[in-house]
Amino acid sequence: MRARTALVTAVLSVLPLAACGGGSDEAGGVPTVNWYIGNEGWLDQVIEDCNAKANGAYQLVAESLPTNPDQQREQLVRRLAARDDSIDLIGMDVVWTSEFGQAGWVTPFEDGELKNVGSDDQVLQGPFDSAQYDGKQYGAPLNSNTRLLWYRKSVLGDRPVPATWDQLLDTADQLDTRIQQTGKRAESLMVFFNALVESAGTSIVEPDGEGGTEIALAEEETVKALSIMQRLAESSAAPVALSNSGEDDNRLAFQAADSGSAFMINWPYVYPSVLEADPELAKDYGWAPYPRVDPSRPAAAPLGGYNLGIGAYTNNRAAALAAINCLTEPEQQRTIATVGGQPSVLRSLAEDPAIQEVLPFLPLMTEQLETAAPRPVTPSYNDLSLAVRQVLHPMRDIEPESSYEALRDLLVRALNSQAVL
Amino acid sequence: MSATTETTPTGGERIAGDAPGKNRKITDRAQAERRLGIKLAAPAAILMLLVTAYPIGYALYLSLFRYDLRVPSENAFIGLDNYILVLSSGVWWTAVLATTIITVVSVVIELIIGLGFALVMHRAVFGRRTVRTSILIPYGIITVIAAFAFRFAVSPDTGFLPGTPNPLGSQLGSFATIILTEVWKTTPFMSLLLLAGLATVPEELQEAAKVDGASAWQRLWKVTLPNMKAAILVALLFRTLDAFRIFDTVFVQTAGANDTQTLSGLGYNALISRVNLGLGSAISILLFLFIIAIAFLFVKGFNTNLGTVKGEK
Repeated sequence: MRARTALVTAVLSVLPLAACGGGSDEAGGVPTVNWYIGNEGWLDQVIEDCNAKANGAYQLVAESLPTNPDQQREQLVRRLAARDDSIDLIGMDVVWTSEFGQAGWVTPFEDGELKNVGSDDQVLQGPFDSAQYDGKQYGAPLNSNTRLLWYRKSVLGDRPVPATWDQLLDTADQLDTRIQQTGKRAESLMVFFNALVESAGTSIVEPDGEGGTEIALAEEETVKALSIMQRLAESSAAPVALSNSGEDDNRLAFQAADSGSAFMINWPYVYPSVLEADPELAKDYGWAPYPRVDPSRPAAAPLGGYNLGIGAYTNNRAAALAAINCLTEPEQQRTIATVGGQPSVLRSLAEDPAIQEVLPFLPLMTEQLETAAPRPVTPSYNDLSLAVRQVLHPMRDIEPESSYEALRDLLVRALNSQAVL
Repeated sequence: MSATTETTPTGGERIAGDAPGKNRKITDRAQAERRLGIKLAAPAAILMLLVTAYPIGYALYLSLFRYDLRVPSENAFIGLDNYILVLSSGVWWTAVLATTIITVVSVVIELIIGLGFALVMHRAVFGRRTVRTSILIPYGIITVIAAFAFRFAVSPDTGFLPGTPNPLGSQLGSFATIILTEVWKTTPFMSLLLLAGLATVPEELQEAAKVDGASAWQRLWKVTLPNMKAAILVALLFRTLDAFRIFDTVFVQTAGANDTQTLSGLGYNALISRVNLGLGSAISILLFLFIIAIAFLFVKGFNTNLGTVKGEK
């Protein structure tokens, strides 16, 4: 019996070890830097380049996360809450930075630690702001992203390109065509709502003057934003299954030969992807700034991308930092932009010819990244996002006035961890 | 039980004066055996306590705290506030309603189709094994995969309904799809339990009824079903408890859109996505109470029915 107990004990103690195999142990004196990040097309190449440059100082290894950002976050949060010391480097979606920083899951950078992305002289304003929380820099901006208005030149003809949502909806009605926009119950709904609210001139949260945040959402502006969402959902210009459509559904619908969709709001990856699928069709793709809400105010386009954070429980902080400084060098930034279609965060690459060749709309994106709409900077961001999805999905059921009250009420509670979501 | 009956002392010389001493001797032995029994059962009992009672107790404890892993500095004891928060929230009651609708509708349909399948499996004359195997296949498929299969099946671009709007876009369509998936996936389980019940119905009763001129329908209603009441109740209990905790199908197909969020989904959001352990534990404990209540009601019904069956005999 004692032998059996010993066996069981042995098995039980080996299991967790096996699960964490290949953790942050040093292999032959070279520290391994485990990089948890969604699986991106440019990942292999930048890792290879940085490992070559490191010359034995560290070995960067990608630990692939799911493609869905909600699921990426869940995996990371579970591991970090359990103080997993195998997480050295984290590819954080820009919106997680404050949550991870507040929870103590990533450590802030000291002055001078970041060689390439430590100040807003080096980094575009939107991405730089997304990496700050509570007066400290918790993230190293890695890449950036913003949504544009895409249109089919052949359908639009010589009509003016719509500059506001109202013009966009009017033009789509006249042309009897659809606007591809996401509407499913996911983070993309928060992205949409936040961009409209910021474009209208208010914000979801604002500082409360005591170091915390409170819900802002000025009524007039928010109702305006909500009525645009409602108008889109009720219009014949809405995608066939708006309440279920995501970015890639939009891309495919817009790209289809007889799509009947002359407009689309989407990230710029749609362009490299159509270039690959049908270079002729790509010539019909036009791009324009993200539509405004208020004709007299520049739009605040959504901001995406990754910030790099160093896991709080890592044993290899120095090596992880060295890896960050390599990944943010112009050469790697150029790789990410040209291979992945996601613009660099560096000001020095804002007019880079090599990137511009792949992303001809780079100047427009750079402009938008300077004024992009940051999503609410608060540790409760994820709760706010769930609250927005709960009240505003499906968009066709939005009634601007009463939805405003309901949304505001739920957001106030969500901000204080006081809501069932 | 065995301890007291088997310990009649050998020899059997019963002297009246000896009786108390003998009794004490039996008690000693019985006690020793009881002690051994406890020792033998203890490891299993302790293991059960560790894997079930401890987490439940810990969840109960956590549910009394504000305990959010993202804001560790604000953790504090707040009594029943989490429960008040949950029970006063419209989202919770919407989820209770959605969970109940999915449970009741899917279990009723499963019972009817499952009974049909059970009869087919029971009466199949040739190809019995093939029939049984093919009916059981859906149950062997992982729920997440079944959920994805149905999601793709109803999607306009990959599915069987091209040109129609995706049913998952509307509330009715969402519930219908979720229930359809559940029914497809778990009816075999129901029919398996019912088949076991069918097998216990004595063949003589059927023959006697046949001789008396009962039609097939009458035999089903008057002979078969009353005799397998207990099996039906067990099948309903198992399925109801399972269905009430539904998570995967809803998570995959709607993620709770169109008011299809279930109680498990709410718990998942709070615990896994928001790492708000206090609130999430309160939701889990409330779900646990619902499950206990359902089990209690069924077991009550189960007992009385067993009683009446015995009484009839």
